[in-house]
Amino acid sequence: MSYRRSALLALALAAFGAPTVLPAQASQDLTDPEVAHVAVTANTIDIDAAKYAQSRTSNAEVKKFAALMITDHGAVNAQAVALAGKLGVTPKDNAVSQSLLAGAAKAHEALVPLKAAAIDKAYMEREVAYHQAVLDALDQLLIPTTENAELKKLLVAVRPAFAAHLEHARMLSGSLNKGM
Amino acid sequence: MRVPRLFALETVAPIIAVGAIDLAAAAGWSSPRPARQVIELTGIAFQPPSLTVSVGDTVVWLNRDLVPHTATVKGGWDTGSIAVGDSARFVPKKAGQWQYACTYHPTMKALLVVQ
Repeated sequence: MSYRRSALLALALAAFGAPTVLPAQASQDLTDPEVAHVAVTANTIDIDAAKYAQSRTSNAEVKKFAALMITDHGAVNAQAVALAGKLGVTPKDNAVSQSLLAGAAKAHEALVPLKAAAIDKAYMEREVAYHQAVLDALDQLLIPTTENAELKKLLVAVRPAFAAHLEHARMLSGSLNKGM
Repeated sequence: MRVPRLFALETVAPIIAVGAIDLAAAAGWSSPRPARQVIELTGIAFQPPSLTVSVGDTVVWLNRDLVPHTATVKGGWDTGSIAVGDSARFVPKKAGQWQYACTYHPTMKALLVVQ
């Protein structure tokens, strides 16, 4: 990974609450099995966050958004896993996946003590930061790094969903801040 | 309001051509047969985002995206959830214009004009 890519990814992960200092492995390009692992990890993180939000919120719009995250990221993961199987690629754990998981754990800890409307706002702000971080990672790291044409095509196809989720999260977060 | 009677799921396989197939018009008949018009759901968007059809045509929404979608008019017709790889169809019975959207993805909007 180039210095520029490292710096951009560090910023993206920092926005999501992950450590800003990338591990030593991030100084190298990711292999396709590692890219596949990052993709599956990123989707799984948001599914888990949505399930937690569903268990804590009483806001109908937030519940609906969380349900959409479970459906959409679940669908994307299913296709990523199916493609990996077809290509004979076994997703491989790596430093970027670990950074994403560390950021997710930190974001989760911040949600736990919150109650009522505060958790709705915090969850939606987390969703804005998360989707922006993943979009940056897709653009600056995952898509440029991937060598396999089919895996790259899937990542490109996934991008509009993340962009739509980001816009949706921004709309909902804005409504909550106005006292929806 | 959900109007399931107007919609039916179809498999992807029978849909070979994309766009209108109007054999009657091509043959110069004065009263063309209803056409089949396909709107693809791809990249969290309706393609084309605006479509004009005639009363009696069959409008088909074909989900080529990675996630489920709907085509829904607020307070009007609704395809219900269209799974990945599936489709839904609608045969408009009257002229009009409908702004519709995906209920799951509020940024996904389009226009259907029936004349």
